[in-house]
Amino acid sequence: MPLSLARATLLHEWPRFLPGVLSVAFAGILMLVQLGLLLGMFGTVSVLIDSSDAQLWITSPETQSFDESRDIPASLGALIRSQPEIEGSDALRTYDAEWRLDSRVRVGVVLVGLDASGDAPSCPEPMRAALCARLAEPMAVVVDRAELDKLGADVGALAEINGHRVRVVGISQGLRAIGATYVFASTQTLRAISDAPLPGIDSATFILARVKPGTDLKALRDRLQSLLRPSAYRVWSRDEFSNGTQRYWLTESGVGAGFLFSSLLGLIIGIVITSQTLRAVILASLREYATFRAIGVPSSKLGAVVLEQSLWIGIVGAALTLLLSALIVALAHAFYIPLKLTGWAIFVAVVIGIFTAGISGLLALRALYKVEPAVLLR
Amino acid sequence: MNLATSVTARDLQHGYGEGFARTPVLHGLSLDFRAGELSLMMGASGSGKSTLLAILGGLLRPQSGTVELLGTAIWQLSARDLERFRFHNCGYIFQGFNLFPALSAVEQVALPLLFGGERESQSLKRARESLDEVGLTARMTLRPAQLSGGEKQRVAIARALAGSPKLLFADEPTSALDSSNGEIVIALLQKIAREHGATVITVTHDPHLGKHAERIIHLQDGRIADDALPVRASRAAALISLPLTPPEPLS
Repeated sequence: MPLSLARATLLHEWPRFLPGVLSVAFAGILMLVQLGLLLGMFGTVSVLIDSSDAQLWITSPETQSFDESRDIPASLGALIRSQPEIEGSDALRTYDAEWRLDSRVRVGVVLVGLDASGDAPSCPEPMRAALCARLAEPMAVVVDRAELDKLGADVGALAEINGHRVRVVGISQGLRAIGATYVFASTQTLRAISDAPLPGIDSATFILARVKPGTDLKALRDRLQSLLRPSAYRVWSRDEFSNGTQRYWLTESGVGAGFLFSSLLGLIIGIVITSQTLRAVILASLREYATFRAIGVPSSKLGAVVLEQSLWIGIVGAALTLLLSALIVALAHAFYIPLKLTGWAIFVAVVIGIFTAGISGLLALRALYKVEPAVLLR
Repeated sequence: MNLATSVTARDLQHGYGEGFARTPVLHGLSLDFRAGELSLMMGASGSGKSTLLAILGGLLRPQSGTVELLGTAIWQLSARDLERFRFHNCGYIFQGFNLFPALSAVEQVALPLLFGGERESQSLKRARESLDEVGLTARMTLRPAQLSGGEKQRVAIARALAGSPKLLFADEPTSALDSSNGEIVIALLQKIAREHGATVITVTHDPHLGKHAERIIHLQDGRIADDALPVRASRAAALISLPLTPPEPLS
């Protein structure tokens, strides 16, 4: 292996570099875990959109987010179904209700009414295999595993929703959202609980449509939007509605700004500690560096040594970030905490780790450039 | 032996501090050194000997006066050119050994060559030759922590030698060593002067080193008090306190 002062010093005096490595790693973890929670949490607000089998969603015109939608006529479904590219369409209804179990548990829930069949577009992916069909039983409901404690329920439990007796017939997994506790029921059950409105006026919260494979989704959406007056309805593609919902939560809640602020704080602390670490290493070898300056080695060559060291600190710190983040994600998963890390988030964390170390190296260089070889002769 | 003049210093003035607080250190010193000679500069602390060495060695810019090394007026060079000049012509040995704790002896010596753009294999080869010359053939792979003080200073000498310098500046090279290691080091410096034809200028306060030197310069309060050629090694110590020639007239 080629002779490198940077690497030799790193290996020989690694305890000196440890604070720098750890601060880069922790700055990275702080950012990644926060980002993961953010992605995980706000990923859940659109969970019913993302897990549906419908590529098109129709909502009331002012809707910005899944949970802020006004009812629209269910009869729109007929118009949608008349389009040749549409394979199937149904309605999804949500209804705010109160869940009661025994005398102790009282929870506000969002009752989600779906078509009680596994191949309906509204049936969420985790329930498609069996649970949606099981909802056909009158007054049957499905709740998510992550909500069991809150609802005090389990399979077979009897509970009350708005004074109507319901029975838990199944447990779903992965359908938990922040901001709402979903309880799934068939459309009929929902109607029974919500004391259905006047006969003849059937309303839905969303109309969903599944399109045939190979359809130009954007063109179809645009055509449907021109058929339905934009002042009365809004047509979304699934991804648009999902992203819109997440963006709405991110900006409305102010969590996005909080995340940026604390990540920036972590970054600054990381840079300060790492640059101080590198400075301490330079100062410890100041006389050696000064000797090299006397010999006539340019500052830039010695600066390259410090930058190489900072790069290694960044690489090792980023590797540590990834390792610890993987552990944290596994831990979060075991406790049903919605923590989600995407490839680009990890990439950004690695880049930021190396960036932190690089900036630290540049800051520490000042100590090196101040070295005067004449100090050795005083 | 080549006795051409290699170092010429004229009217060197230097002081520290400013205004009323200024302490003059050198008062218009003029000196010449010849190639192939080991010269000792001696004097009490504060006599200006280390400042003079720094100015002669191109490490400290004098407030006035000129220094010519090998015919080049070094204080008229740009900082980058001076750096280059030092790299190609000068070697330095300091009181502390200033070795990187992480590097083996051969790496310590090879590193400056590597920084100078030499290939790694060539750098290591020259480093080994240099360590051979200072008698550390068997200790090349050891780190500073595994070497004695005398061995560390010999590594530092080998590092100074590896670039084949024509000028070697040493500041108290023996003060951290016991007398027998001090003898070894000064004998090495003398050998370098004689065999490589280098100009070796050494600052020391150790009178026992006089027997190895071709010349002993005594500094007092920033002036040359005595500039002597020791006639006999055995009487070197006595010569230091006994001026044979009158002090050089000040300009």
